[in-house]
Amino acid sequence: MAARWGAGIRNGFLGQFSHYLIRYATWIPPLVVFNGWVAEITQIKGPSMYPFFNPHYNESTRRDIVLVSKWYPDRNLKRGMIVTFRNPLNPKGKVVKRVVGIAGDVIRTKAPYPHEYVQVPEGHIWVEGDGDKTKDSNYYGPISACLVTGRVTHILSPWDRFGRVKWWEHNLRPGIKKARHLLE
Amino acid sequence: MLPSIRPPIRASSSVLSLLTGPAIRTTTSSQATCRLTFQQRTLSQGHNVVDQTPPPNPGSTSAGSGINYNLPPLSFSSHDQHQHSQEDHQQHHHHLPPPPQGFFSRLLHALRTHPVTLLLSSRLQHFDQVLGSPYHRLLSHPFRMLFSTFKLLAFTHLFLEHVLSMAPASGPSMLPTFEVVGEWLVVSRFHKYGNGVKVGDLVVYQIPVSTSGELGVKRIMGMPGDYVLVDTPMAGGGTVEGEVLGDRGGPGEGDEVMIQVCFGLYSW
Repeated sequence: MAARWGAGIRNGFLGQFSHYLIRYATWIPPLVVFNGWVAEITQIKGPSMYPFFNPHYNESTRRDIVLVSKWYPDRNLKRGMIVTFRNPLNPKGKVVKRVVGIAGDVIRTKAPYPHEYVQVPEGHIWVEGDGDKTKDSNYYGPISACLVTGRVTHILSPWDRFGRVKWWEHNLRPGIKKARHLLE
Repeated sequence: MLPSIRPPIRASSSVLSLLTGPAIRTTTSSQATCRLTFQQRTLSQGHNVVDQTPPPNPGSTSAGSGINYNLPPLSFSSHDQHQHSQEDHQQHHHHLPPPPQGFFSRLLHALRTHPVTLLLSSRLQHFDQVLGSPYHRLLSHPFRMLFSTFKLLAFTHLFLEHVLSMAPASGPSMLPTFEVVGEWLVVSRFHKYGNGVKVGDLVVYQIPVSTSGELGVKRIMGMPGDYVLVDTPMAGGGTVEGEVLGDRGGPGEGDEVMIQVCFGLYSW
């Protein structure tokens, strides 16, 4: 791959520079597609998933770095998975929360949601952050599963928590009545 | 800094040899020949194809490409290889014309001679030409072929996601604007996530209650904060009499409810 293809490479610094610049720049679309549709490495910025992510949020500015899988993330969502999705109030914002209820579940909501009990509609999920200070479905209600853009599968940094995100070991909070699905 | 020359792909594939005629036997001396010739050609003004333009061919169809259909003498016995290398490869070997000058012309030429583009545009006579030339910049180099195909597909994917895309539409809900079947719609991706839309626009959206990611096409009736009248399925044709909120039975059996489009907050 370090070979020069020979098609019209100019002599001289500017010609060669622009040739290599364009050749390396043509790698940008594949990388963008990889980040958007295969997997992405990103940082968790807020304290809403304390203590699972950013347990030292108040002590340091180091934030967790995670691997997000973008491969068909809105199919087969299960309770306990940590997902990234588009903020329903602001489509360009990205949010990381845990899936607490799926379609059909009856959830006992927390403040500030106006109704005490809610049944998650078809095609929607109920997301909540593990921490206290969090704006989640208790604020904006159940979100459509179409908004989900990725699933957090691995923690990459810091080193002492490196590894797979074991979402299946998470115990759901009380107040979630699971729907009886045929496939469960 | 010479690239490592591998023998042309067509020599190892029987399918390709059907397209290109008699197969070339690859021997080690043919590799030496290729290396010699490549050396020669990279030294000559940096082009990887010979400067000598091929003679005009009555069979060539594309304007100005001057593709030479005369195949070279294909005897690659080890004796006369080194002697024939310089002259024969320059004069008889058919090859693609050198890429034109100018940045955009070269980019266009590179895209036009990419095997994926040739396949998709059904330019099979050029494909034969491309396959027949062992000095095509990609076919003798499988990794380059793979990577350049990736790049082309990724660029196309990004274009369809962020610029414009086209999709078929079906369903009776948009009559008489769209027919029930057979309509193809061009969708502008600049207005993704509702960027810059207003009342009256036709929009494509992901159906929120769908489990299979279906897309819908509808017209915007109200932006956040607007009041809209929502018809229930059995509603009749009652008129609005100045009441903003209220159920009313019209001549039909159902109710008409006026709601305010919420600011993103659900009220399930």
